[in-house]
Amino acid sequence: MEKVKQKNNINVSKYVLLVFTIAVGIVFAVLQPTFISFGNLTNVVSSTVVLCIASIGLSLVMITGEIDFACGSELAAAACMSVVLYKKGIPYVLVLVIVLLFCAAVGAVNGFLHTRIGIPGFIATMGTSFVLDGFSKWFTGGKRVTISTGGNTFSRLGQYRIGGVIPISIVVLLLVVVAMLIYTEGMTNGRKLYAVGSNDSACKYIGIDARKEKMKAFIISAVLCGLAGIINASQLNMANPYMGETTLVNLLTMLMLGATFYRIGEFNVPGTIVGALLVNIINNGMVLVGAETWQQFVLQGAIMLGAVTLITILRARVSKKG
Amino acid sequence: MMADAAPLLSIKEITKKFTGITAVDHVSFDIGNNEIHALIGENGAGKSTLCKMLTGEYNIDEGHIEINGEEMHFKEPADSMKVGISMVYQERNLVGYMTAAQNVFLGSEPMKGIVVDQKEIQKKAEKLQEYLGVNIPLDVPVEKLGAGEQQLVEIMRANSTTPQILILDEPTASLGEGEIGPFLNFVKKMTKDLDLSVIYITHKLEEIFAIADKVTVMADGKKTLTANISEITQEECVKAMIRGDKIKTFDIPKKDYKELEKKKVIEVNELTYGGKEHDVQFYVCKGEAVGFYGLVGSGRTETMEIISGIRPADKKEFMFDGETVTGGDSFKMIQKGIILTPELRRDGIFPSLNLVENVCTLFVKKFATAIGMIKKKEGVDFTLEVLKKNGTKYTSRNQLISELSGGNMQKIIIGRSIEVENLKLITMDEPTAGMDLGAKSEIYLKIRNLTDNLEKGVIFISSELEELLKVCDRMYVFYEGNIVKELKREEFDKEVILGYALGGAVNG
Repeated sequence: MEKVKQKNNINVSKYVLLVFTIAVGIVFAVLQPTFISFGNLTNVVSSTVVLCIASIGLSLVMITGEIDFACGSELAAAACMSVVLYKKGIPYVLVLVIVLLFCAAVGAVNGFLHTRIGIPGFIATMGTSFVLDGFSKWFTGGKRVTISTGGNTFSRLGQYRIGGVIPISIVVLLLVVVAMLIYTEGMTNGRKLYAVGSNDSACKYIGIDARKEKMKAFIISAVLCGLAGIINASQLNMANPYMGETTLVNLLTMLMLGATFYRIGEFNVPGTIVGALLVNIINNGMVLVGAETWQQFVLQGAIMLGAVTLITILRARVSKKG
Repeated sequence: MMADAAPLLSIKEITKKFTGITAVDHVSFDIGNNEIHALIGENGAGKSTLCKMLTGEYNIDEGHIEINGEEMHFKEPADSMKVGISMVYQERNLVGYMTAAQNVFLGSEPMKGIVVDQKEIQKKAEKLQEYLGVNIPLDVPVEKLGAGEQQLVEIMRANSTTPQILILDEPTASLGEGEIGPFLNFVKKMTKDLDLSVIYITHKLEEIFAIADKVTVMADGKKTLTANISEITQEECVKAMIRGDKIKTFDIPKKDYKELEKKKVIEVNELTYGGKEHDVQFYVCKGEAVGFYGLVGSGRTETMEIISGIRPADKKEFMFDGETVTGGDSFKMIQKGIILTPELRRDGIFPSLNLVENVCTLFVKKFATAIGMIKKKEGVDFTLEVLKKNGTKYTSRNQLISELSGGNMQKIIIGRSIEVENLKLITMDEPTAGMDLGAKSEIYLKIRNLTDNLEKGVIFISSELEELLKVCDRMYVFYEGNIVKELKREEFDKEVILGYALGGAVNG
């Protein structure tokens, strides 16, 4: 009897974040009708693209119980590399391939340091983040690098709109979202990933190699952060070695919010997506209703704290049963 | 016991309700001065909940308790400690790298200005040791101590506030066979010397009859019996604990060993691990349950974890199903048909995942397409079947496994393991630990079903000799990493086995 009740509580609260996100959207729409104009909605989504792609990547690592501290550095390094390589005259497609392969290698190094050498993930990725920051400063000369000519292939990914309406970046985001949702929720990979996160030491008893799953997570995280960086550079026509500095903090907000959704108290990809959307709706909506910057900060902070409070309470409730 | 004066502790009709269920239902009994009062009952009978109400960890919903005739209302454990109630929990709460002395005074360290006075700690700990009559090294990290010594550290800590009533929750659960006797003697002596009263929670009837003055039995949250130990038999206790039909019985068919030996599933000679060669000569045949007995740390778990590909070894080589195996991780071994269910239940479950996910993580390949897409429906159907076959009690397949009781978790862990395709050898490491009699008998039955009807090989690792004697066809005794004795069922002899387990090859 008791358990039935518990379960129902959790099931209802499973989707609260989505309901809340929609509610916030409605509030903004009422306050400022232009919020739901098609143009603004694509703005909301396309401004989400960079952080949303990176946050999905980071989610994979966080699901396994580790953290990729280097995600901001990966983003910045990828952005800088893409600008510098493109300026050297390398075709853009090739630039994409080189940069993403580089990021995969960075992820592999992170994974290797953690799973094979045994360094805690936080420290290993912190180390690689310094190295990456150094690299970025080296090949940009420590300052911002820009692409001057407009209408080139470089800015397509971030700025071109298909038929003048739908930004390519949103299409890319949708592809990443669909692919990663299938990966984590529909495939054996995801099942193993969540298993590793839930109980690392139980994995060996049922034949799951936790190290391999963590390795994959680190690689995918670095690649997605790299992709986010490339898109960001393309949106801005420029890159600088410092553009990833606040990335991790922003991503964590989204992930924390996401952990209140779908898999209560656990980081998960569907939750992260909703979380990313909510953060951007709030940011965009606040701008539209004419809020000041400080108010945005206060609101974002309050929502983050609210989310973490909720997770803590829900987790406590789950573990009490255990 | 003491005559008419108000008893030391009087429990009056106390009740605890959790949403929907009544965990403790109008229970009353008294604890007298200087008595060891055993509290027994199956898992979930409400013993721990009751004691948590006594310490103030849970609020009492109805009824109350009296100490020396005075009504008490505790808001938190600190309140009950003030009037002299102290509890030693089943789970260890020690900080591994700290010494015994530091652990005892953790949180109530004597200070010298703003720093902790280590000398004073040591001195107070020594005094406490003398007071309790124990003797354990106080200056080494507790993680270096044995399970029995760690238990004593916990008891020292509980006694550091000089309680009148000490609650011990399953204190022998983690102790090896050789450690239990001395521990019981210690409890008895301590109770007498310090004029304490002890509430002793346990599953093990022998222990009650060895030390308790009185016993209270609980079943389904209600008290079913309180009696002086001298006026009651074991059978009466068991009857009060459970309905008789819950214990399942079974017969062990006679085995023709000559015939059996032709169908060896596994044959092992030696393994090298931890830089040492270990002589572990054993074999298991199809349709045979083989017991591994030994003290905690005698190498039973290590041996089987290496065979099952879970623990790395320096060198391993053994025959399995007609082929020589020298390597392979647990994934490969499971594919070959060797699986092990872990000693610690928490190593077998994924607490934040639901029942379907917990069952299907073992079968990621089976319920997926070639490219790795999960076949959800098949996985769900399979899970429901596993849950049903093993009599698991649950409310929804979508509930988290951590919401289930320990016994039901174990049913899932074992239930999914025996479904492994082409399973040939399953090792169950302490599968009945912490279970009540009814649940234990179900495990025994499952083992016999695996051997007698399904022709599987089973290795049953346990620290409870009685259950191995009851269930197994053959037994190996471990001592300091080596197998020192093999016995067939007709040779089973408790004393001989204990002799080998405690003293190694001295006898032979």
